[in-house]
Amino acid sequence: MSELTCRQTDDLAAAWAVGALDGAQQEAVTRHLRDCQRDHDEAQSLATVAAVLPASVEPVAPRPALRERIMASVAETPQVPVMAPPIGAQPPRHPIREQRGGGWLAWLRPGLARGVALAAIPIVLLLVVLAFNLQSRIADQDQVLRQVAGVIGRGGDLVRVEGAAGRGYLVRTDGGATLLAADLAPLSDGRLYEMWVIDASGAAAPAGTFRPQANAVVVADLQAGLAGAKTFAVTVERQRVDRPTSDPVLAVNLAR
Amino acid sequence: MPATDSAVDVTRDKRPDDVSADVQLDRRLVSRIKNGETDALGELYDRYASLALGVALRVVGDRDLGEDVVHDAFVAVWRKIQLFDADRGSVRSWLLTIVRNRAIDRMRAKRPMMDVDDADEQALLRTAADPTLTEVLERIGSHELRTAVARLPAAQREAVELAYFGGHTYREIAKLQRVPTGTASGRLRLALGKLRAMLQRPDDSTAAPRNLAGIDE
Repeated sequence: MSELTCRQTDDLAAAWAVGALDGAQQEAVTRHLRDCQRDHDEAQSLATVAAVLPASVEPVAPRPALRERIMASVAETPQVPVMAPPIGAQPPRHPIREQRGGGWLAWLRPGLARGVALAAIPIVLLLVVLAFNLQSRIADQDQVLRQVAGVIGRGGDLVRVEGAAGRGYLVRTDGGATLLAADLAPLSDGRLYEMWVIDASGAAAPAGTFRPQANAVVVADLQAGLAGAKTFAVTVERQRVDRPTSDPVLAVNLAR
Repeated sequence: MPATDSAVDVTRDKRPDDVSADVQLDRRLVSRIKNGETDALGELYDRYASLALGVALRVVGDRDLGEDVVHDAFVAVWRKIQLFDADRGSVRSWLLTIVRNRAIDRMRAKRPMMDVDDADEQALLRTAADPTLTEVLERIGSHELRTAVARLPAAQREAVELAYFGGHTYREIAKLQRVPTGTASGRLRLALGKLRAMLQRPDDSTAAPRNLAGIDE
């Protein structure tokens, strides 16, 4: 959907607040409110009122087993980590994701990890299979992505990475690590994705940058080791920087 | 069905001191969950699971499915808690909005499916949009909220319920209510505006919204 004007956004604000727009409109309003320099006070106020609507329902006690089930799931679920923004950095106007581009993969990005060349043929075959399954379920896609990561890793550790921008795997081998990710939105205005290795003190070391092509799987070698790392993260930056200036769009806690 | 005895009753209307203590407790729980304390998520569950299931059942109407939705919502809160800023929004509103979104997603077949992860993060924006108003609304109990919703003109109340709990777009609501799309959209705007006016006057919560009595379609 094309970009909305401030007037159009205000007109749709009440419907947006109660989730009564179709997907494209809902995203367009969210995007406008996130990016617009003008304050849309009325829209924000209506959204806040709408947010209390669910608290108006009659409570219903769940069965006791539900609590146990949730606690068991939580025990196996890592939190998506967020780095503290660097001192003096401007926080994002709203804590929401970059807009996600649709689609899946079509071909492999150039610049594969060293040592992966021999594995290129099975990888390409797997990606061709993926390309013919564009409409398959996300779970199926994820399984194939994991298989590709396994081929690249050749027995190395696979760590699932996910966040607002998409999902992927960090492949840890003796010689280093490689990020394999899908569903990352192409970036405009010269922006790029930058990888970070973060230690227990929160210090972030830059680990390389990449720019995904539309519908492409990203395969990016890390230019920093993971020894002593607590977190691996990816941020969107306007240029290559020494310290992250935005919240991660992909991250994983490596200490778990 | 009433909440379990062990659950904290967060749905009753409260005195200001109780509300302040509740808000502080929620913030402490958020802080502990951010530190990775699973027990804190359990406490959050004890506080809001009944309300969450009430929301889920309102949408899906099936207990098994409703409990699945509540399960997924609490796990989502755990996963994404680092994105949540307790100074800007209410964890209750965020949680319940996630429940609503996921319940709608389960029920929605003919419309394009929403990306629930995307919806969770949009919920962050929607529930943290106006921290000052959020602080006011945080003091409102469920009974008072129900009373306010019940006082809306029938057509506006129905429009809000079709949208929020039925997952209908305003265009679908226009067809269901047999009115132009502009009227359906206007009903949503009027309804939210009236709710805001009623809820911002907690000391006068039992009074009719006299200043809005003349506003309808």
